[in-house]
Amino acid sequence: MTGFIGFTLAALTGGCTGAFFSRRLSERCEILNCYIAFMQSMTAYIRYNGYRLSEILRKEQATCGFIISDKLINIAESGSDIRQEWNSCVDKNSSLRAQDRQVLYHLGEVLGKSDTEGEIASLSAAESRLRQCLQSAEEERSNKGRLYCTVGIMLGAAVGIILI
Amino acid sequence: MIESKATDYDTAIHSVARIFPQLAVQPLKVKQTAEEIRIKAGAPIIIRSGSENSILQTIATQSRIEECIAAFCRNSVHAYEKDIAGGFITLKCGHRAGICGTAVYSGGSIRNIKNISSVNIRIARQHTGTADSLVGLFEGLHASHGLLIAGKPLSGKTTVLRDLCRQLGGRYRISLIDERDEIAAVYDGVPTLDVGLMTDVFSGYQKDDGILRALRAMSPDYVFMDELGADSQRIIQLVNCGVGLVMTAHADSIDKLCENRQIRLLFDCGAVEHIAFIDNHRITAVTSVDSVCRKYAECCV
Repeated sequence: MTGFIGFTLAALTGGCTGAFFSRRLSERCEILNCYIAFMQSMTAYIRYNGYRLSEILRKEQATCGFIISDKLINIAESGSDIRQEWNSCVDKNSSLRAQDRQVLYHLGEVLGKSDTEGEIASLSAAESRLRQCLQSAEEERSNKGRLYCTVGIMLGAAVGIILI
Repeated sequence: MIESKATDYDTAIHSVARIFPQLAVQPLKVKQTAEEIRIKAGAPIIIRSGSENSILQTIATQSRIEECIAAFCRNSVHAYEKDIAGGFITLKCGHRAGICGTAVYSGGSIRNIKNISSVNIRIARQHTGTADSLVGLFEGLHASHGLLIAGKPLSGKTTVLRDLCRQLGGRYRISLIDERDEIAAVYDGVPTLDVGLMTDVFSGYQKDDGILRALRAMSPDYVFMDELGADSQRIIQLVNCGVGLVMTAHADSIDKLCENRQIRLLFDCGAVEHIAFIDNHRITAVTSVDSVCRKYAECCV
């Protein structure tokens, strides 16, 4: 009986670990999608409303799906350099990969620095690069998502068998 | 030179104080009398008070000036591109940061200014009571239907216009065409300076557009605007609708006024009935256009 419980627990732990890594792949896709949607909203705000960066961040803060800190909004409003806080907010999304972060870091460097056309061009360039990241993230999710779960359960079961 | 609260100075330097901390630690006397803060790449910062200059030890650099622009624009250059192309950015409380650099033309007009090398922060002040002696012109059955406030640059024309607007705004319907956001100092959609109870502020409108929309939408008794720049036909339309006009013009004498063709047209069409000359934020003379035209008949014809 004890052996059976140990086997089940080990298999479950392995399955959960696999599911966790599989979930991270899905999260990466979701966060990238959120950033892409944010850029599209931002383009519209800049083109049609002429909103300032802080106003856009404030409007998107509750619904964007990623972290926009109050500090970032305050820094944007004060006119100080936003790069450090922007990067810090990007880093809080732990499921993003280095290449995703690089695109977002670069966006933080150019946000609010040019006129409407320049701003829209920067957002468009960042969006297309993020779309490439999203494509690779989705491929990875479809290829490896189930694999992680299966491998996790199998490894857990193997450990359980060894324990028995 | 007139003194004012040091808080005007403090609000004017608010966005650049962290870039040039020395600006924040000036003597009270300098803060009270400062009119301009001139920041130029490679040169010391100068605080101008009347004819006196306070030269600071801080040398501005190009990168610091770029930081200033980002601070003025609150990290949103796109939201201020019209202002930048126009050569100035309106700050909180109506202060203005004039900018100078290399013009970028597109389609025959200035689209942007790059390599900004100089910034001039002009400190706006609301002085109540400066237009007291003009209020009488707008009282009674023969209230004036047109006033031109004239003076040389920095003489206080806008200050007097704002105070007159504030005082008349309590009794007349006024539409204020604030093309550069410096009269009412609209900031985030709210006028930060008192321009009167019944004053509707057309912020950011070009004068022609503002006049047209004011006539259509707000049925004003008077239209106020800073610096002549509207099409004469539009002003004639305004006069024909029975709406009074109050505006300012750069000129320190009647001769200078008469040299301006557009102003002469305004005299001819009856848009201006009185002229007030301003110097050092004080009204130095008020005269009627009839007497001016009689005196300068040759000029006006």
